[in-house]
Amino acid sequence: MLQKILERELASGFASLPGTHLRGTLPVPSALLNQALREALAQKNGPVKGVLIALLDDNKAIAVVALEQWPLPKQVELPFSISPVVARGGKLLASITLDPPGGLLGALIPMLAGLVPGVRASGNTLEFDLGAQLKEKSGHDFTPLIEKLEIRTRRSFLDITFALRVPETEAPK
Amino acid sequence: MKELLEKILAGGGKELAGLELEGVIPIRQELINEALTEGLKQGVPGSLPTAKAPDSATINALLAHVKKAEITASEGKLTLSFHVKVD
Repeated sequence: MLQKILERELASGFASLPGTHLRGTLPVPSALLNQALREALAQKNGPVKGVLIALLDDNKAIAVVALEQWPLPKQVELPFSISPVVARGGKLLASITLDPPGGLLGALIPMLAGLVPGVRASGNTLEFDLGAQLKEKSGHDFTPLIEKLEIRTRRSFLDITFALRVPETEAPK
Repeated sequence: MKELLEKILAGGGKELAGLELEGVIPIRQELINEALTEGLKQGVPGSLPTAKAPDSATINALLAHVKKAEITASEGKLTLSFHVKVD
């Protein structure tokens, strides 16, 4: 089936499609993002029981997080800013900066987030290596193919702007 | 997730205003023939498994977003160029 071929091409980094170039903008509705988070969290056992993201203008957002972790409250609201540039320095890094809540919560949230696989916490900034995650899941390093990957938010939408190019030299052996 | 995506597509993609995708995909004849062979084995060439096929009104609404679709043939390959934009 075509799906089998598509999956194979994805796993090989489009090795059979040298010369391919794609660019565009994908608006992701917050409902779709929250559904993806719900499905991801349903597969994990941890202190975070639910996350609901409200997307605002200018790369601002608020995460409403349901927790089961003493001594944290059962629900916290975490405003954060999203870094617009994901493809940088030869890596695909998504990063957010938490608007620091005070007291114990402010100290514990970055620490707890740092315990999530794939997330690196540095102060109030959390970084997620998308390139490494993609490589782990697909077995292929897509980073060299991605010329541009940027994220912008507006109310209820996450706009992903990207450009991808498969070099002519990627022809299969 | 699948249900939500189907709902968005069933609405003719209107909820995705701002979506824009353009590109060029050169496809070698070996890949085309492989897709045809696999499709024929399944009975429907190139078919993707879908829970529910969209009706013709939905297909027409989705096609309205296709601003350009061109196929050019050269020795050993077809090149697909396209531009999709949801206003």
